[in-house]
Amino acid sequence: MIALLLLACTPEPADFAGCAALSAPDARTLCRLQHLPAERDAILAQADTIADPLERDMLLVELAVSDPRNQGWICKQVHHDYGERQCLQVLGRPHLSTPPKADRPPEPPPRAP
Amino acid sequence: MFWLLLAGCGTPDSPQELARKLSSDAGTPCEQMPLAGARTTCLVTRAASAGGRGDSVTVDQTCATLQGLWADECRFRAGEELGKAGHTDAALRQCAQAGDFARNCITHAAWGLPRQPGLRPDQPAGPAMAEFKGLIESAMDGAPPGVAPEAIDTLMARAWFNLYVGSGSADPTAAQDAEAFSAQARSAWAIEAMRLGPGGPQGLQIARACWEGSGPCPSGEPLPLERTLGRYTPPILPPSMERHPHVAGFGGSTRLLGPDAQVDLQVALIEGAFYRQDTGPELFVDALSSPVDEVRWTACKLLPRVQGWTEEIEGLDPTCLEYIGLSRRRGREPRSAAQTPPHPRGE
Repeated sequence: MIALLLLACTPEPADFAGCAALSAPDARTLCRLQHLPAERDAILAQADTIADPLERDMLLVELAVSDPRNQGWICKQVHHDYGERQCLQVLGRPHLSTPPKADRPPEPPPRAP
Repeated sequence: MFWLLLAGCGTPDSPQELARKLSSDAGTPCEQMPLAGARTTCLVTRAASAGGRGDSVTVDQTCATLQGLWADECRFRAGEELGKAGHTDAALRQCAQAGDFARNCITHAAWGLPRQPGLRPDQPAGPAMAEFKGLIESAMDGAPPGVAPEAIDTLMARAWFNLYVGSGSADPTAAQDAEAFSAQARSAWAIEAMRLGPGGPQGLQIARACWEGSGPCPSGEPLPLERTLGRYTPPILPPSMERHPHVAGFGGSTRLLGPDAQVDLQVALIEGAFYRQDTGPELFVDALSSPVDEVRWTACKLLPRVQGWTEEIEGLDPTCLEYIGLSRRRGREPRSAAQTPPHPRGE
């Protein structure tokens, strides 16, 4: 019954553009996250179709925080105060974008006792 | 998907209203934030604030709700704040749980290490240093492999730094008494001896005489810890030196360990001279002709960061050239350090 009500309330958007039809900005952001392409340029191109700069930044922040190592770069593309504030915790912490240990150069040198 | 549908049915906020709710100063509990990214940064901020208050319980509870990289970051942020607030033991316990960021966290916690009251250059410090080492070892229980020895090196170096640098005394009694961590003790003593002396080659001679007991030791006005500023280098090594023994230095740097105490003192003094921001190239140029590898290599590491390039110098050995090449690639400007933590490995 609940499921039916929910389905009646909001049909699932089929693509990124369709997310705009959702009534709540958090739902739109979550929806857009699911429909984002993988390529950097394509991500930005899709994000730039969002008319409201605040909502655009919400999407970029969510993407960056979800995977700072691979998506932290996108914090450099935020324009709104909201995005800049949230992205401080990504851009201000460069180790978050550093490759994991297995991909790094050899360990530091042996230390004196 | 369920959340998406549910959100679609609720009373819609405007984007501005939602942004206000997602802001950490709006009073919205992190757990109630509808977007995962905002929720995550909110939780990390909460843990950091709790660390600043010395509240390890809230730190533990908060960081335990995060996973993966953000759980590590949560421990790192909290460890930094606990360290700044003087809760070294609690800070290191958080750092030990910071996964890939444990080393970064330890370096930052070391920067926040307060001076230990009662320790002075003119008195042996062995028991206090041994006790501090025990605290580090205990706090590092459960740290990722290889982190504990590095933590001990880094923090013991900082403890010795705090004892000497800014004390206003280059009395070598404490450093000469050090049986364990004697290299870290020498490093700290050398920085203070070079800081208080006249600088350059003359300062080097005076410092050596002081250490050997054949001359007076430099002294001067003490400095608060937050004003103990100096140059340091990034801890990046040429490939051929990666297996050579090093000790932690100032500002997250490392310095070469000499094969014996005498050579190690020379290396420490050259590094101490570099810490002093007005030291010119002369002292390092002199050291380039040293027959001792560690002394010469240290000069090769530091000289390009003092005077720019050294192309006119001929006959440098391959390791020297590697150091010089490295400083060219990494930028020649030395870093000036304040109490703000530098960027340790990976940053």
